Amino acid sequence: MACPELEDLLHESSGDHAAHCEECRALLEALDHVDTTFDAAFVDASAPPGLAAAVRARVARELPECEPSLVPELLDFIGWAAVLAMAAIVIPRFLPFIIGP
Amino acid sequence: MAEEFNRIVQEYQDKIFRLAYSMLGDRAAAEETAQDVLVRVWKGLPGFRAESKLSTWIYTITRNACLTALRRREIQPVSLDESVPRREAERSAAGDWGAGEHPEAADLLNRLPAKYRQVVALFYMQEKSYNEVARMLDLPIGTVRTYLHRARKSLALELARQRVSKGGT
Repeated sequence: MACPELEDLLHESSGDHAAHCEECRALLEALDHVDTTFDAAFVDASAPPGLAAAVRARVARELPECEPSLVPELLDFIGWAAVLAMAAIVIPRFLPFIIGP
Repeated sequence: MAEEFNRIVQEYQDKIFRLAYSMLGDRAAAEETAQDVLVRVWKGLPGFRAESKLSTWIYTITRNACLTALRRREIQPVSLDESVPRREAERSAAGDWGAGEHPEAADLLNRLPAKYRQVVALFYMQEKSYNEVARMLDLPIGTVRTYLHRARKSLALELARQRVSKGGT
């Protein structure tokens, strides 16, 4: 639809050409319309005023869930208890061989 | 950590919201997602090792949260296809724009292929900064320029055709 020289004209002053070419003038006006429409639609696309407060409230609600868990401590205790129990079973059996008659 | 988190909220809340808005096409959904993202940032902050930039990390969380939201809404079934590489799914994922307060802008965006929509919307939200859009969407700046050029040209051609045909009849 557009004339071949339009690409260059889009980056330069295109007034002279567009004044004599109805199709290019329509295209330039349409481009301008696209820019204006999006500018108007998105100029105020900022976070809603209550966002930060809502996030802080959620964080405060979820804080207790993030306290240190007892599970790793419990697993650590069970592991060491198992090691000590094994040692208590194994060492007395082999003690006579180690110490001698 | 609370002080650091407050600084992040102040600095990034607008950008997170805009990125989510550009991907989801819906203010309410974008607000909800931005909240989720900031809570995730708060939870992940102690483990953040600064191997990547803070902004890169936050934008990645935001894009992933938006993809999850889109999947939940089943707006883009194509992104559910495991055979589609994740980056490709991310680029093509974008919700249809609801008419909302700006029906004409929504109508224009919905005429575009999904992968152009979020680039165009974010470009106008981010005061026409190619660099910022490229960083937020994790796209090369050349790709952002190309997508914008093609999108604006295709919309303008379509509008111009409509005007000329209206004028001719």
